[in-house]
Parts: sequence; C-alpha cells; structure tokens
Amino acid sequence: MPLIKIDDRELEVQAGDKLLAVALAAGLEIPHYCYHPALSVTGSCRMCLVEIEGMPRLQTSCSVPVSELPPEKKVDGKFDMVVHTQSEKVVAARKLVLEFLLLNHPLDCPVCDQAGECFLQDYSFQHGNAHSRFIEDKRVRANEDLGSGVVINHNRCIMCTRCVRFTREIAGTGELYVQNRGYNNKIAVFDSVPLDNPLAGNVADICPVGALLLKDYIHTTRFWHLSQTPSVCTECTAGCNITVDAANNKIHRIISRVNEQANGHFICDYGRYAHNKYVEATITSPLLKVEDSWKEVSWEEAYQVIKDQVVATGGGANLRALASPVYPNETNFLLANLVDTVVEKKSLALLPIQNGDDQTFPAGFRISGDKGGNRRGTEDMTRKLTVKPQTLFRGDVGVLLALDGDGRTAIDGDVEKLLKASPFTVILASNMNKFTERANLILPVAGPFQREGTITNDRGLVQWLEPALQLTGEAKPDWQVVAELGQLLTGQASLYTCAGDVTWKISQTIAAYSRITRFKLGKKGQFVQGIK
Amino acid sequence: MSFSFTTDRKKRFKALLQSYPDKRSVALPALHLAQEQEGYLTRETIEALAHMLELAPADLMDTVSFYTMFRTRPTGKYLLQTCSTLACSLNGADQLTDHLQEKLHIKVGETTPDGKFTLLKVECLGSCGTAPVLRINDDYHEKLTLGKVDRILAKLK
Repeated sequence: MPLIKIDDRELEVQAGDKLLAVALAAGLEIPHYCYHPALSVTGSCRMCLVEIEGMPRLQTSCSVPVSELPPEKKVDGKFDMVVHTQSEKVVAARKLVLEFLLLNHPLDCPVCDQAGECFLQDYSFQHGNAHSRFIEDKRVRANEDLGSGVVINHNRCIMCTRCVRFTREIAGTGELYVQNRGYNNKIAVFDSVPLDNPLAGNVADICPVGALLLKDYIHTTRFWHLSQTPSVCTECTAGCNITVDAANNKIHRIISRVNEQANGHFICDYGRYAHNKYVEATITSPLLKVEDSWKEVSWEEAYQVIKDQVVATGGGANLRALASPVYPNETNFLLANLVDTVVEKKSLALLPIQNGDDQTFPAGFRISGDKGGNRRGTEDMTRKLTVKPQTLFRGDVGVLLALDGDGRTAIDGDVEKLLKASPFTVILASNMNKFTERANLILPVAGPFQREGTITNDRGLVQWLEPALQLTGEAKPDWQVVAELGQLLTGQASLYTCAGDVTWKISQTIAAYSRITRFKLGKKGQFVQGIK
Repeated sequence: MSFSFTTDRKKRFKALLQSYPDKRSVALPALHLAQEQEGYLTRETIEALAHMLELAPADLMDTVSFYTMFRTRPTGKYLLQTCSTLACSLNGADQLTDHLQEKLHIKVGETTPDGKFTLLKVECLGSCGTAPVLRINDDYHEKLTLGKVDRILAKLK
C-alpha cells in the first residue's frame, strides 16, 4: 500500500484512491466545491488545488489517484507522494480561484437562504480575499423555476455541476444540463422539460452555494434559527437518515443525513416533504365520542372509561389489539406485552397500511413501496402473538386497542369487520383521519416527528428515532400511554421512565435485539443479530 | 415533425456506432450528420438522436449548446461566420463584422429577409496567420479587406 504524506501527516492508503477522498477520510480538510463522494469527479471548480512534489503545476486533488512508486523513485526513500495543502503557492491559488468564482456573484448573503451553511462564505472567510479587483458590471440573470419545487438563482451559481451529475448518475433522468459555454453558461432544463423525478429535492441539498433552492423553504427562516435533529424517515421501510430542521416547534425543512448503511447520501421527495402532511398534531386531549361528536375528557376520565368498558365487555380475555408499523418498536413491544399478559389466546394483528410501488434508481437508491416504516420492527416485537386480522373479529369481541396509521391505514374488509364487531374502540393517535374517526375514544399520543424509540428498516438496521418536535397539549409519548394502559389492565406497576428503558427491556427479551441499546445505536444504527 | 436519417445517412450512422466504444461517444459525429441533413438542429431532431444514443435529451443539448458549429435555428443559404478572437480582432475583424451588418442590413445572429445570408460571430477559426478570416458555409476567405468582402459577396447568388 502506498505511503503518502499530506503536510505533516503520514497516511497509508489504497492505491487508486483519489487524493481528496483520502485526505477527507483522514479528517484533513481540503476546500472543494464540485467534488461529492457519491458523484463522478469533474475537477471543474479548481478549489481543491494542492502542490504535489515532483508534479510541475498545482493539481486538483479530487482527480489525482494515489499510486505506488518503484522503490528507487520514492520521495525521501519511503513516500509515494508528498502533498502540501498549505504552501505559499496553494494559498495564493485559492485566493485567485475564489476571486474568480465570485466574479459574477451578487454577494447577497443577507437575503440568501444558504447563508450560514454556505461554502462560498466559509471558504471566502478562510481562504479568500476581502476584496475583488473586478470593477466591471456583474452578469445578472433572473431566477428560474426548474420544476419539482426547485428554483435556481443563476447569479449565485459557481457551475460546479453537482446537480447535473446528480440527475444523470443518481436519479438517472438527466433533466439538467450545462447550457452554452464560458461566460454564457448556466444550468438549464431541456427546452422547458422540467426537473421531474422523486429525488429532485436533493439537488438543493448538494448545491454548495445558494443557487438551487427549495420553493418550500425560500425565505421561511434563517439557518442559525434552526435546531437540527438527526432522525430517521418513517415514510417507507427504507429507513433513510434525515436531519429535521425546526424552529419554535415547527419543521421548516428536512434534509438528508449521510448513512452508508441505510440511504447513502440522499433522500426522496416523499420523505423530504413529509412534514407538510402532518402540519400539526391536531389531537391535543383525550376525546370521547358522545352521540357522534367528540368530547374532550381528562386522562383520568379516559382511563376510567376504558376500565369500565373492559369490565362491561367480558374482561381482559376478550381484548383485541392492532399494532401499527408506523410506531416505534417500544410502543409495539409494550402493546404485545399487554396482550400477552391480559389475554390467553393470540389476539393481536398488524394494522394494514396503504402501499405503493417499489422504486429503484440507477445508482442503487431505493424507495420502498411498503409505507409502514417500521414494518420489520413491529413484526419482530409482536411475532409470538400475531394472528391474521380475520381471526380477531371471531368469538366474543371486547375492547379494541389500536395504534393509528398516520392517515395511511388501509381500512380493508377485515378492519371494517373488526371495527364493527368491537363494542368499544380505543385508538392511540395524533391526527384525525378516516381510521381515528371510527374510534369511541382517542388517546392523544406523539405524532410523526414527535415519536421516540427504535425502528428497524427492511434490511434489519435498527436506528434511533429522535423526536424533533415537542408534544402539544395533553398528548403523551406513545410508549408511555401503552405502559399506562398495561398498568391499568394488569395491575402491575410500569418500570419504564423513558423510551430507552423499554429499548433495554426489548434487548433482554428478544434475542435478535440483545445488543441494541439506545447508547449503542448512535447516529448510524446497528443491524439486528442473525440477519440473513 | 419527427426526425429520421435518410437511407444513406442511416448507413453512415450505423457505421459510426461500430467505430466508437459506446453510444455516447457518437454524439458529435451524429449531430454533424443530422445537421448536414436538416440544416439545423430542432428540438425534435435532438430528442430523436438522444433516443438513438440512449442519452437524455438535456445531455445531448449540453453538447449542442457548447459547440458554436451546431445551430438550433434555420440559417440562410450562405452562412457568414466572422472570427472574433484575438488575431482577427487585431487585424480588423470588428470593422469587417460592422461592414457586413451595414451592407446586409442585419445584426449578428440574424438572417436577411430573402433568406440568403445569415451572419454569425464565432470564436477562433484556427487560421490566425491569415487574419482576418470570414467563413462562408464550408469555405475560408482569408486576409480580407472590406473591398475584398464586397467582391466576394457580389459573386454569391
């Protein structure tokens, strides 16, 4: 393996790897714009120039592969490459490159949405000049709508072509291209054929400057007002990693978070705009249906009603339950535990969820058709107890305890029959929808982006779902409500003080999850054991 | 109108596909072939070619818009291209262009109403030693003076 020296760091690296990638992996920062680890290399921005001993000119480190030299040619007798990233030549070159990139840039940071997370700002501050020698008129172009909610501000563009390469290599649709050349070039779509693919929003994420913008986010807030929560998308079973950016308990945008074990670098637009579907958790207190209208009741009253109804319908033995794949493992585990303790025979089924089609893109990115984000985890938590839904409405049906499906519930024939057979239905939910409307009592629990716990994606990766929003009104965490219901119906005290306690209990109970704890999951998750 | 190659050009296109490692590499010669046939490249032509080469139309348009020798608008019978790069500029190419604009009553990029002449300003024609240069269709006219240009234009029917 070649031995290289970057400034004063000695690194042993794989032959053929690109210098910039090697440096970044070792934690050395070389400024760059056009290079992106998931895209092909173009070397067009010239920002990553470094000085390599023995090479005549400065080289773009993104495109230089590291290779092994024959023994007699090694530098200082041992190095295959000696690189300087802070030499006088490099520092001077960076200043010139930045001055050049900023020639036509409007410097409108005060009104630019990228401000605060902009690499032009960062690198100008670290490596650039405070002034430009360009006194001519700047090139000014109007903004253009590219389609799929993406707008381009041409004036801020530095022509790194990340977006063009993204549509060609990752999405495979190739809507974007570089029009004309030299001074006249710009990012464009072909003859008004708009950007149209379910990954389009990523071009704004990967744009290193404020050129590509999401219509949904323009001028809504400033970057430094956002609190960024690393979380996981639950819109399908792929379990993409996201960063949820919120301010004042309102989500302003969702961006992708890198996790090679899950989604890689990108997310789809269904997940990106998921927060718009759940504008707010509209149910803020327990609701009891009295003569076709909802009456707000207290938690004590709600629990008393449930207790009375259970007694009136033949006791816990007739209890029925529906676990939901949109809720975390903890909630479903506690529900399964409750059913296991109270009911003798198996009387739990999985709530059916409306599904779509699987989509796979050229570079391997996938969107699962299964919209029950935690399907695998829910199955793992309830495996011993689940039956087919049609067996639930047979015999004496008592109180039905159900978790909601966030408006994605497929109310099919079996669910319909079960709802009709149940004398009293309790649904844990955050939003009113067609399914919750059928309840006799709704208990307000954490909604999407408020839930906490573990979810397991379809490949067995367990990840921590971090809540980005606080609960509203009287709502309680979903796992806590199920734990309280367990206490109510079994008489045994709940031992759990936080979702992580339940995670620990799962690790003690279910073999495949024996190594999973909140702490060990970190931000990248862990695979369940015994995965095929 | 959809685009397809004539029988003869279809053969040449197939031969081109054989002589390059992948379809993408055939983009330039295929575009030349299409322009030779149609005179200029329309949206339909580019879409059809992109389909033949298994590229996105935008991907092919990238190439078309990069090179000045590809035209996306119809041209007159005679395409006049004046060089605007250094050597020609220093030797009076700007005056030459101005003279043509006045004489033909059109601006750069326009075509005369009778459809005879189109005037374009292009980058280096690669004949700096004989500046200033005017390219009329596929022929170079070198070491030009305004009088010489007038004589050349007069001969064009």
